[in-house]
Amino acid sequence: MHLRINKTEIEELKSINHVLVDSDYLSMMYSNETIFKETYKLFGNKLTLDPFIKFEFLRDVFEPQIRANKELFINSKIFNSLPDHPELYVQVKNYAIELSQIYASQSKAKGVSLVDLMLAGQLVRTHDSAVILTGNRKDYPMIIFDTVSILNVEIPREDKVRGISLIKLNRLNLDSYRDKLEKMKQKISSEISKKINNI
Amino acid sequence: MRHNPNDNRVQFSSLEKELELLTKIIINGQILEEKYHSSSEDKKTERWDASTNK
Repeated sequence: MHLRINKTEIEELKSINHVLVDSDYLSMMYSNETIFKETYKLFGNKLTLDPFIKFEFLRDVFEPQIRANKELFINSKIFNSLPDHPELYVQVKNYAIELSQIYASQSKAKGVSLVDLMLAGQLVRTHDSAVILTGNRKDYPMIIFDTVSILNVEIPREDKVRGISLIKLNRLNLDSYRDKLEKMKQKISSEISKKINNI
Repeated sequence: MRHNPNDNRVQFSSLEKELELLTKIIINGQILEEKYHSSSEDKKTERWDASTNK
């Protein structure tokens, strides 16, 4: 397996501090040393793991040797680890709930998991200094997230190419959907109040 | 503070070691997955055989 990239687009990421690795891509790095090395060559010490991604990587692994090996992998100094702190968790959770409501209001919530929402919430929290590296673009709706670049993973054994997206938050779009959501909530609250008063 | 010219080299060397270690972890992971995946496949076959009384 090899990575094919657009160098100009990747170079534009110089101001980014964190490349948040999604679970699917973390598994891809764990299962192929070439992909791991080429990804490290591209992003170096910006590769970052969210606590929920670590959780997802280890969940359902019951075989002790596999679990220990996976733990060694994700706890390597090569990866930055975002702090697993209760205050940060509350912030990220609130952003995640807000995003889930926006997705639902635009019929974009289907198939988006809790971990996807928490990672997206982390992107909102880090104030534009991070991007997400994911093979599941549909989990991060384009109404809120822009594509920065696409890494193509060549899989010679299967004669296939898989697209891996680097995505960032579109702050203007997020603010616009926040406003719409807020207006929608106010309208519904006022309608409910009227109904209650008429009972 | 005096700059130690060897510092960068030391950091680089430690990084190289970490990368080497991670490569070994990845290869070990592949070996383990193959070992346990194939053995669980065998178990599945055994269970299937038992269920069909063969």
